[in-house]
Amino acid sequence: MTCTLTIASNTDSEKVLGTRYSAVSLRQHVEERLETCESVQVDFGGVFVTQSFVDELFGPLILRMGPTVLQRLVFLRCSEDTQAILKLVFATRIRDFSSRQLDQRAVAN
Amino acid sequence: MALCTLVAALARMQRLGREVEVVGLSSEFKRQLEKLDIFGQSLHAAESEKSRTYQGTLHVYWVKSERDGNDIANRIADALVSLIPSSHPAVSALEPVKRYKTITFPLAYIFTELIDNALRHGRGRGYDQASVWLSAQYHSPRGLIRLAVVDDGCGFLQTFQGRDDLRVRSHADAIRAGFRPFTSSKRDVGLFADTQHQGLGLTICRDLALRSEGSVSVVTGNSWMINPEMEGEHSRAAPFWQGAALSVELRLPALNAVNFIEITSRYNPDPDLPIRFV
Repeated sequence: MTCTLTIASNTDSEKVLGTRYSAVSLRQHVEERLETCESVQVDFGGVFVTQSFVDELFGPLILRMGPTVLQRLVFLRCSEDTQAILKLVFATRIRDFSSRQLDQRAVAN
Repeated sequence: MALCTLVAALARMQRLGREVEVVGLSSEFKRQLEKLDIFGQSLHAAESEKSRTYQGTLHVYWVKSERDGNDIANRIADALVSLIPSSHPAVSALEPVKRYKTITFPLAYIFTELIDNALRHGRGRGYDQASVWLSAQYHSPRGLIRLAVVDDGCGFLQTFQGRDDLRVRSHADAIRAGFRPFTSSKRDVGLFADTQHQGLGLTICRDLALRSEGSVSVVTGNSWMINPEMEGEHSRAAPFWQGAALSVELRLPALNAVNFIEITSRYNPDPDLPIRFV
Protein backbone atom coordinates (compact mmCIF):
# COMPACT_ATOMS: atom_id res chain seq x y z
CA MET A 1 0.00 0.00 0.00
CA THR A 2 1.15 3.52 -0.82
CA CYS A 3 0.33 6.46 1.48
CA THR A 4 0.67 10.14 0.71
CA LEU A 5 1.63 13.04 2.94
CA THR A 6 0.94 16.50 1.57
CA ILE A 7 3.24 18.96 3.29
CA ALA A 8 1.20 22.07 2.46
CA SER A 9 -2.04 20.71 3.94
CA ASN A 10 -0.30 19.85 7.21
CA THR A 11 1.08 23.30 7.83
CA ASP A 12 -0.26 26.83 8.30
CA SER A 13 -0.46 29.13 5.33
CA GLU A 14 3.29 29.77 5.42
CA LYS A 15 4.95 29.19 2.09
CA VAL A 16 8.52 28.85 3.33
CA LEU A 17 9.05 26.02 5.80
CA GLY A 18 12.41 26.69 7.35
CA THR A 19 12.66 26.12 11.07
CA ARG A 20 13.35 22.72 12.56
CA TYR A 21 10.41 23.17 14.88
CA SER A 22 8.00 23.31 11.93
CA ALA A 23 9.26 19.91 10.70
CA VAL A 24 8.91 17.91 13.90
CA SER A 25 5.18 17.14 13.73
CA LEU A 26 5.46 16.37 10.02
CA ARG A 27 8.19 13.83 10.74
CA GLN A 28 5.82 12.10 13.10
CA HIS A 29 3.31 11.85 10.23
CA VAL A 30 5.97 10.33 7.96
CA GLU A 31 6.95 7.84 10.66
CA GLU A 32 3.31 6.81 11.22
CA ARG A 33 2.86 6.19 7.50
CA LEU A 34 6.10 4.22 7.27
CA GLU A 35 4.80 1.92 10.01
CA THR A 36 1.68 1.00 8.06
CA CYS A 37 2.49 1.60 4.39
CA GLU A 38 4.94 -0.04 2.06
CA SER A 39 5.81 3.23 0.44
CA VAL A 40 5.15 6.88 1.33
CA GLN A 41 4.71 9.67 -1.17
CA VAL A 42 5.66 13.08 0.20
CA ASP A 43 4.11 15.95 -1.74
CA PHE A 44 6.09 19.22 -1.64
CA GLY A 45 3.73 21.11 -3.96
CA GLY A 46 3.15 24.75 -3.05
CA VAL A 47 5.90 25.08 -0.45
CA PHE A 48 9.52 26.19 -0.31
CA VAL A 49 11.81 24.42 2.14
CA THR A 50 15.21 24.94 3.73
CA GLN A 51 17.99 22.48 4.41
CA SER A 52 17.30 22.62 8.17
CA PHE A 53 13.60 21.86 7.70
CA VAL A 54 14.34 18.91 5.40
CA ASP A 55 17.05 17.64 7.74
CA GLU A 56 14.71 17.72 10.73
CA LEU A 57 12.03 16.00 8.63
CA PHE A 58 14.12 13.13 7.23
CA GLY A 59 17.57 13.23 8.90
CA PRO A 60 16.62 11.24 12.02
CA LEU A 61 14.90 8.60 9.83
CA ILE A 62 18.09 8.06 7.85
CA LEU A 63 20.20 7.94 11.00
CA ARG A 64 17.87 5.34 12.56
CA MET A 65 16.88 3.24 9.55
CA GLY A 66 19.78 3.75 7.18
CA PRO A 67 19.68 4.39 3.42
CA THR A 68 17.09 1.65 2.82
CA VAL A 69 14.34 4.03 3.98
CA LEU A 70 14.93 5.99 0.77
CA GLN A 71 13.60 3.03 -1.25
CA ARG A 72 10.25 3.52 0.48
CA LEU A 73 9.99 7.26 -0.09
CA VAL A 74 8.78 9.02 -3.24
CA PHE A 75 8.81 12.80 -3.61
CA LEU A 76 6.08 14.57 -5.53
CA ARG A 77 5.92 18.07 -7.03
CA CYS A 78 9.37 19.19 -5.89
CA SER A 79 10.83 22.34 -7.42
CA GLU A 80 14.44 22.17 -8.62
CA ASP A 81 15.53 23.98 -5.45
CA THR A 82 13.67 21.49 -3.26
CA GLN A 83 15.20 18.59 -5.17
CA ALA A 84 18.68 20.03 -4.62
CA ILE A 85 18.02 20.40 -0.88
CA LEU A 86 16.64 16.87 -0.57
CA LYS A 87 19.68 15.49 -2.42
CA LEU A 88 22.04 17.41 -0.13
CA VAL A 89 20.36 16.29 3.08
CA PHE A 90 20.02 12.63 2.08
CA ALA A 91 23.58 12.33 0.77
CA THR A 92 24.96 13.95 3.92
CA ARG A 93 22.91 11.88 6.34
CA ILE A 94 23.70 8.62 4.51
CA ARG A 95 27.37 9.51 4.81
CA ASP A 96 26.83 10.14 8.55
CA PHE A 97 25.02 6.82 8.91
CA SER A 98 27.84 4.95 7.16
CA SER A 99 30.57 6.57 9.22
CA ARG A 100 28.70 5.72 12.42
CA GLN A 101 28.37 2.12 11.31
CA LEU A 102 32.13 2.03 10.79
CA ASP A 103 32.72 3.61 14.22
CA GLN A 104 30.47 1.05 15.91
CA ARG A 105 32.26 -1.82 14.17
CA ALA A 106 35.62 -0.41 15.24
CA VAL A 107 34.42 -0.20 18.85
CA ALA A 108 33.01 -3.75 18.69
CA ASN A 109 36.32 -5.09 17.37
CA MET B 1 22.56 45.12 13.38
CA ALA B 2 23.15 48.19 15.56
CA LEU B 3 19.45 49.00 15.82
CA CYS B 4 18.56 45.39 16.56
CA THR B 5 21.28 45.20 19.20
CA LEU B 6 19.97 48.41 20.74
CA VAL B 7 16.49 46.90 20.99
CA ALA B 8 17.92 43.76 22.60
CA ALA B 9 19.90 45.87 25.08
CA LEU B 10 16.82 47.97 25.92
CA ALA B 11 14.78 44.83 26.44
CA ARG B 12 17.44 43.46 28.77
CA MET B 13 17.37 46.64 30.83
CA GLN B 14 13.58 46.51 30.91
CA ARG B 15 13.75 42.94 32.23
CA LEU B 16 15.95 44.28 35.03
CA GLY B 17 13.28 46.87 35.90
CA ARG B 18 15.22 49.90 34.65
CA GLU B 19 13.68 53.07 33.25
CA VAL B 20 15.26 53.90 29.91
CA GLU B 21 15.31 57.18 28.04
CA VAL B 22 16.43 57.12 24.42
CA VAL B 23 16.84 60.35 22.51
CA GLY B 24 17.78 61.15 18.93
CA LEU B 25 15.70 58.45 17.28
CA SER B 26 14.31 58.58 13.78
CA SER B 27 10.52 58.71 13.68
CA GLU B 28 10.51 55.29 11.95
CA PHE B 29 12.60 53.67 14.68
CA LYS B 30 10.60 55.37 17.44
CA ARG B 31 7.40 54.04 15.89
CA GLN B 32 8.85 50.52 15.72
CA LEU B 33 9.99 50.64 19.35
CA GLU B 34 6.55 51.77 20.49
CA LYS B 35 4.95 48.96 18.48
CA LEU B 36 6.93 46.45 20.55
CA ASP B 37 4.58 46.58 23.50
CA ILE B 38 7.00 44.87 25.86
CA PHE B 39 8.47 48.18 26.92
CA GLY B 40 5.30 49.66 28.41
CA GLN B 41 6.01 52.70 30.54
CA SER B 42 9.67 51.90 31.09
CA LEU B 43 10.87 53.33 27.77
CA HIS B 44 10.80 57.00 26.91
CA ALA B 45 11.79 57.56 23.29
CA ALA B 46 12.28 60.92 21.64
CA GLU B 47 12.82 61.77 17.99
CA SER B 48 15.43 64.20 16.80
CA GLU B 49 15.36 66.64 13.93
CA LYS B 50 18.62 65.24 12.59
CA SER B 51 17.30 61.68 12.35
CA ARG B 52 14.24 62.62 10.34
CA THR B 53 16.28 62.30 7.16
CA TYR B 54 16.65 58.53 7.65
CA GLN B 55 15.78 56.89 4.34
CA GLY B 56 15.35 53.21 5.13
CA THR B 57 12.20 51.34 6.05
CA LEU B 58 12.46 49.25 9.16
CA HIS B 59 10.74 46.29 10.70
CA VAL B 60 11.55 44.97 14.18
CA TYR B 61 10.21 41.73 15.66
CA TRP B 62 10.62 39.80 18.88
CA VAL B 63 10.72 36.01 18.59
CA LYS B 64 9.36 34.62 21.80
CA SER B 65 9.47 30.91 21.08
CA GLU B 66 10.39 28.32 18.47
CA ARG B 67 6.70 28.00 17.68
CA ASP B 68 6.65 31.59 16.35
CA GLY B 69 9.90 31.50 14.40
CA ASN B 70 8.71 30.19 11.05
CA ASP B 71 5.68 32.47 10.94
CA ILE B 72 7.70 35.57 11.79
CA ALA B 73 10.34 34.73 9.19
CA ASN B 74 7.64 34.47 6.52
CA ARG B 75 5.89 37.66 7.63
CA ILE B 76 9.06 39.73 7.71
CA ALA B 77 10.16 38.46 4.29
CA ASP B 78 6.74 39.28 2.83
CA ALA B 79 6.78 42.70 4.47
CA LEU B 80 10.19 43.51 3.05
CA VAL B 81 9.30 42.40 -0.46
CA SER B 82 6.10 44.46 -0.37
CA LEU B 83 8.29 47.54 0.01
CA ILE B 84 10.03 46.93 -3.32
CA PRO B 85 8.21 48.94 -5.98
CA SER B 86 6.97 46.75 -8.82
CA SER B 87 8.68 49.21 -11.16
CA HIS B 88 12.11 48.41 -9.68
CA PRO B 89 14.32 47.12 -12.53
CA ALA B 90 15.25 44.04 -10.50
CA VAL B 91 11.65 42.85 -10.18
CA SER B 92 9.59 44.57 -12.87
CA ALA B 93 10.05 41.75 -15.39
CA LEU B 94 9.40 38.96 -12.89
CA GLU B 95 6.18 36.97 -12.72
CA PRO B 96 4.82 36.78 -9.12
CA VAL B 97 5.94 33.15 -8.74
CA LYS B 98 9.44 33.91 -9.99
CA ARG B 99 9.56 36.99 -7.77
CA TYR B 100 8.68 34.87 -4.76
CA LYS B 101 11.30 32.26 -5.66
CA THR B 102 14.15 34.68 -6.28
CA ILE B 103 13.53 37.29 -3.59
CA THR B 104 11.05 36.27 -0.86
CA PHE B 105 12.31 32.69 -0.54
CA PRO B 106 16.00 33.58 0.06
CA LEU B 107 15.00 36.21 2.64
CA ALA B 108 12.72 33.81 4.51
CA TYR B 109 15.41 31.12 4.15
CA ILE B 110 17.99 33.30 5.87
CA PHE B 111 15.60 34.43 8.59
CA THR B 112 14.46 30.92 9.49
CA GLU B 113 18.06 29.70 9.67
CA LEU B 114 19.18 32.63 11.83
CA ILE B 115 16.16 32.32 14.12
CA ASP B 116 16.77 28.59 14.52
CA ASN B 117 20.39 29.27 15.25
CA ALA B 118 19.60 31.88 17.90
CA LEU B 119 16.88 29.85 19.61
CA ARG B 120 18.53 26.44 19.50
CA HIS B 121 22.12 27.44 20.20
CA GLY B 122 21.68 30.70 22.12
CA ARG B 123 19.35 29.25 24.71
CA GLY B 124 20.64 26.66 27.11
CA ARG B 125 23.83 26.62 29.15
CA GLY B 126 22.11 28.87 31.72
CA TYR B 127 20.56 31.24 29.17
CA ASP B 128 17.11 29.71 28.83
CA GLN B 129 15.45 33.14 29.09
CA ALA B 130 17.49 34.65 26.27
CA SER B 131 15.45 36.73 23.86
CA VAL B 132 15.78 36.87 20.08
CA TRP B 133 15.23 40.03 18.06
CA LEU B 134 14.97 40.55 14.33
CA SER B 135 15.20 43.67 12.27
CA ALA B 136 14.96 44.17 8.54
CA GLN B 137 15.57 47.27 6.48
CA TYR B 138 15.08 48.07 2.83
CA HIS B 139 16.99 50.96 1.30
CA SER B 140 15.19 51.73 -1.90
CA PRO B 141 17.71 53.75 -3.94
CA ARG B 142 20.42 51.10 -3.72
CA GLY B 143 18.18 48.05 -3.61
CA LEU B 144 19.94 47.14 -0.37
CA ILE B 145 18.30 44.72 2.06
CA ARG B 146 19.66 44.42 5.58
CA LEU B 147 18.60 41.68 7.97
CA ALA B 148 19.75 41.25 11.55
CA VAL B 149 19.09 38.67 14.23
CA VAL B 150 20.37 39.39 17.73
CA ASP B 151 20.14 37.30 20.87
CA ASP B 152 21.40 37.69 24.41
CA GLY B 153 22.07 34.00 24.90
CA CYS B 154 25.24 32.03 25.49
CA GLY B 155 27.10 33.16 22.36
CA PHE B 156 29.19 31.19 19.87
CA LEU B 157 32.08 30.37 22.20
CA GLN B 158 30.01 28.64 24.86
CA THR B 159 28.05 26.87 22.14
CA PHE B 160 31.20 25.06 21.05
CA GLN B 161 32.40 24.20 24.53
CA GLY B 162 32.86 20.48 24.79
CA ARG B 163 33.93 20.12 21.16
CA ASP B 164 37.64 19.61 21.85
CA ASP B 165 38.18 18.43 18.28
CA LEU B 166 37.41 21.92 16.93
CA ARG B 167 40.09 23.68 19.02
CA VAL B 168 37.89 26.70 19.64
CA ARG B 169 39.71 28.94 22.11
CA SER B 170 38.44 32.42 21.33
CA HIS B 171 35.27 34.15 20.20
CA ALA B 172 36.83 34.61 16.74
CA ASP B 173 37.63 30.87 16.53
CA ALA B 174 34.03 30.13 17.50
CA ILE B 175 32.61 32.37 14.75
CA ARG B 176 34.79 30.65 12.15
CA ALA B 177 33.71 27.23 13.41
CA GLY B 178 30.06 28.26 13.15
CA PHE B 179 30.42 29.12 9.47
CA ARG B 180 32.56 26.10 8.53
CA PRO B 181 30.47 23.53 6.64
CA PHE B 182 29.42 20.44 8.60
CA THR B 183 30.49 21.96 11.92
CA SER B 184 27.83 22.27 14.60
CA SER B 185 27.76 21.98 18.35
CA LYS B 186 24.72 19.74 17.90
CA ARG B 187 26.11 17.64 15.08
CA ASP B 188 27.23 14.64 17.12
CA VAL B 189 25.08 14.68 20.20
CA GLY B 190 24.00 11.06 20.05
CA LEU B 191 23.05 8.30 17.69
CA PHE B 192 19.31 8.37 18.25
CA ALA B 193 18.75 11.96 19.32
CA ASP B 194 16.41 13.83 17.00
CA THR B 195 18.08 17.20 17.19
CA GLN B 196 21.30 16.77 15.28
CA HIS B 197 22.16 19.71 13.13
CA GLN B 198 24.11 19.38 9.90
CA GLY B 199 26.25 22.46 10.40
CA LEU B 200 25.22 23.98 7.08
CA GLY B 201 22.66 26.64 8.02
CA LEU B 202 25.01 29.56 8.55
CA THR B 203 27.26 28.40 5.70
CA ILE B 204 24.43 28.53 3.17
CA CYS B 205 23.19 31.91 4.50
CA ARG B 206 26.68 33.35 4.06
CA ASP B 207 26.93 31.96 0.52
CA LEU B 208 23.52 33.43 -0.38
CA ALA B 209 24.65 36.84 0.90
CA LEU B 210 28.00 36.81 -0.87
CA ARG B 211 26.51 35.70 -4.18
CA SER B 212 24.07 38.60 -3.99
CA GLU B 213 27.08 40.95 -3.65
CA GLY B 214 26.32 41.36 0.04
CA SER B 215 28.05 40.32 3.23
CA VAL B 216 27.65 38.69 6.63
CA SER B 217 28.75 40.29 9.91
CA VAL B 218 28.87 38.63 13.32
CA VAL B 219 29.46 40.05 16.78
CA THR B 220 29.81 37.72 19.74
CA GLY B 221 31.81 38.11 22.93
CA ASN B 222 34.61 40.55 22.12
CA SER B 223 34.91 39.68 18.43
CA TRP B 224 33.42 41.24 15.32
CA MET B 225 33.92 39.42 12.03
CA ILE B 226 32.83 40.07 8.45
CA ASN B 227 32.47 37.20 5.96
CA PRO B 228 33.89 34.43 8.19
CA GLU B 229 35.90 31.65 6.57
CA MET B 230 35.94 33.43 3.21
CA GLU B 231 38.77 35.09 1.29
CA GLY B 232 37.65 38.59 2.33
CA GLU B 233 37.32 37.72 6.01
CA HIS B 234 37.91 40.71 8.26
CA SER B 235 37.89 40.75 12.03
CA ARG B 236 38.45 43.21 14.83
CA ALA B 237 37.84 43.59 18.55
CA ALA B 238 34.36 44.72 19.56
CA PRO B 239 32.72 45.96 22.74
CA PHE B 240 31.64 42.82 24.61
CA TRP B 241 28.24 41.43 23.67
CA GLN B 242 26.84 38.51 25.66
CA GLY B 243 25.09 36.52 22.97
CA ALA B 244 25.31 36.68 19.21
CA ALA B 245 24.43 39.36 16.70
CA LEU B 246 24.35 38.47 13.01
CA SER B 247 23.64 40.77 10.15
CA VAL B 248 23.22 39.89 6.49
CA GLU B 249 23.26 42.34 3.60
CA LEU B 250 21.86 41.45 0.20
CA ARG B 251 21.69 43.49 -2.97
CA LEU B 252 18.54 43.26 -4.96
CA PRO B 253 19.79 43.17 -8.53
CA ALA B 254 22.33 40.43 -7.74
CA LEU B 255 19.90 38.45 -5.58
CA ASN B 256 17.88 37.70 -8.71
CA ALA B 257 20.84 35.92 -10.25
CA VAL B 258 21.73 33.72 -7.29
CA ASN B 259 21.82 30.06 -8.27
CA PHE B 260 20.53 28.25 -5.22
CA ILE B 261 21.13 24.80 -6.73
CA GLU B 262 24.78 25.62 -7.28
CA ILE B 263 25.15 26.72 -3.63
CA THR B 264 23.64 23.55 -2.16
CA SER B 265 25.38 21.24 -4.66
CA ARG B 266 28.80 22.45 -3.48
CA TYR B 267 28.28 20.66 -0.17
CA ASN B 268 26.64 17.50 -1.52
CA PRO B 269 28.99 14.52 -0.97
CA ASP B 270 27.06 12.29 -3.41
CA PRO B 271 25.17 14.25 -6.09
CA ASP B 272 24.28 11.03 -7.97
CA LEU B 273 22.44 9.43 -5.04
CA PRO B 274 19.26 7.92 -6.53
CA ILE B 275 16.15 9.59 -5.14
CA ARG B 276 12.66 9.01 -6.56
CA PHE B 277 11.18 12.30 -7.76
CA VAL B 278 7.82 12.23 -9.52
